[in-house]
Amino acid sequence: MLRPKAKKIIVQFDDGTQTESAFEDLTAHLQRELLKQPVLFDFNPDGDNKKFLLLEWKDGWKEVMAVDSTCREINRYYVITRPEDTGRLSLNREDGYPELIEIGREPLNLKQIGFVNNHEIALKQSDREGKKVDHFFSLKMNGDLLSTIVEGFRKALNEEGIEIKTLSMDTFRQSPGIYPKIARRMGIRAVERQQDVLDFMDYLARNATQEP
Amino acid sequence: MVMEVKWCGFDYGQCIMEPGGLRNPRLYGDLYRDLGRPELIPDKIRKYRILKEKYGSYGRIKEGHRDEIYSFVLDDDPEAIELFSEKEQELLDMGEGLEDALKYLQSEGIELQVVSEMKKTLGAVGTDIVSRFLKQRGLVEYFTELVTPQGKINLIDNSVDDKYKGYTKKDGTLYDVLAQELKERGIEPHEAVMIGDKPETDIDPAHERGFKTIKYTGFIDLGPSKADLEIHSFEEIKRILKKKD
Repeated sequence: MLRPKAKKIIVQFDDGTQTESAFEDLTAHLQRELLKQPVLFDFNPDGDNKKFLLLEWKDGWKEVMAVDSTCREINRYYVITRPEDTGRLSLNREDGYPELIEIGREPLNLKQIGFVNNHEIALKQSDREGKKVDHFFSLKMNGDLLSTIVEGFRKALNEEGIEIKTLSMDTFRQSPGIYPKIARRMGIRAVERQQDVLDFMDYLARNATQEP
Repeated sequence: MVMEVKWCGFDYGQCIMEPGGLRNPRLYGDLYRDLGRPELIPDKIRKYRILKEKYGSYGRIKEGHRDEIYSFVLDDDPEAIELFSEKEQELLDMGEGLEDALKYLQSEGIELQVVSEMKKTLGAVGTDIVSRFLKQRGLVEYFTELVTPQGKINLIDNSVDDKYKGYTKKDGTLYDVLAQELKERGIEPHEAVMIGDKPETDIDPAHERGFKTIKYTGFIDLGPSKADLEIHSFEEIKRILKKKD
């Protein structure tokens, strides 16, 4: 699903005046914050090439996040304890500057990272540096993400009483209410933007309906 | 255990100088607030962290890719670059208990030198990042010389003795030159002790050349080494080191 790129932001005041700015002139931080809001569309559309990251915790919690389509693989995952814990997931990107994702929810208890493949994670070593401790995790590949998750999608559809063979992509897209239900069945939430969940469901539906 | 010595060498990074206070929210927060552009702080911190992911650690960026901090993070803004170096210096800490330990060693009459694997000068010799730290913190009172692969730098007059040029701690050749120079002054390697955190540069090559060695783990523990002793705090030095008559 291609979406338009954000070009301009206009703020209207209650005295009738207004101010505007090119969207790209806003700080990158503000652009990201604005685009998390449900009222705004994706400013960097990757269309059907969109890539997703699926995080799964030891307690069964799952979160999904769309990432830049130029991301290729996971570089590393580690947690910094200071004493608060912050997870840092780094993805290799074509331009040489990695994509960096911060993970706030119990980062030491992350169980699996799905990006292209499933990666089981396990604590490898902890290094103290002054008052900070870096915990480094090993990543063990465990099958490809798509086939596992499409299977889960089909199972969730079945539990909702929906027969996939009778459906086309148009059916899914014309009934947007299906996606949140399936996502709930699959236990998938958004890392930071609800639209990512809907896009991920769309991606799974496309793959589920394409297979024989 | 008591070690009797006439000379004591200290490593710089993560030993004399601890980078624990160099937190990004403080460094970039202070820098961009000073520049009057506080709204850029989150972007700058994020870019610096991305650079860390590109090179693996902040240390590696600073050793070999400092130019990229200037271009990728600071947008080649000369004012930001100058402030970055200033703020970076301000936020570096000294190892806990170091100054007391140095006072004690000096009162004992033990000769002190900084022995640093500074392969590149980050700034002109004498105004490089290590020399500036030692001068700004008043440590020149204890250390008047800085032994590095770029030469032995006199911290008082900034002169450089090229005798050490090209020799490194990692391959041990710098300790060969150091041992020779100490011998000429009547100090045998077993009457000298090297203190540092890195087994591969501070401990093992020095130990192999007959120096006594103490691994300092107060900031970071980099794993097994051939050190004669390990200390977690510089306070311990006062009961371990004595002057050899």
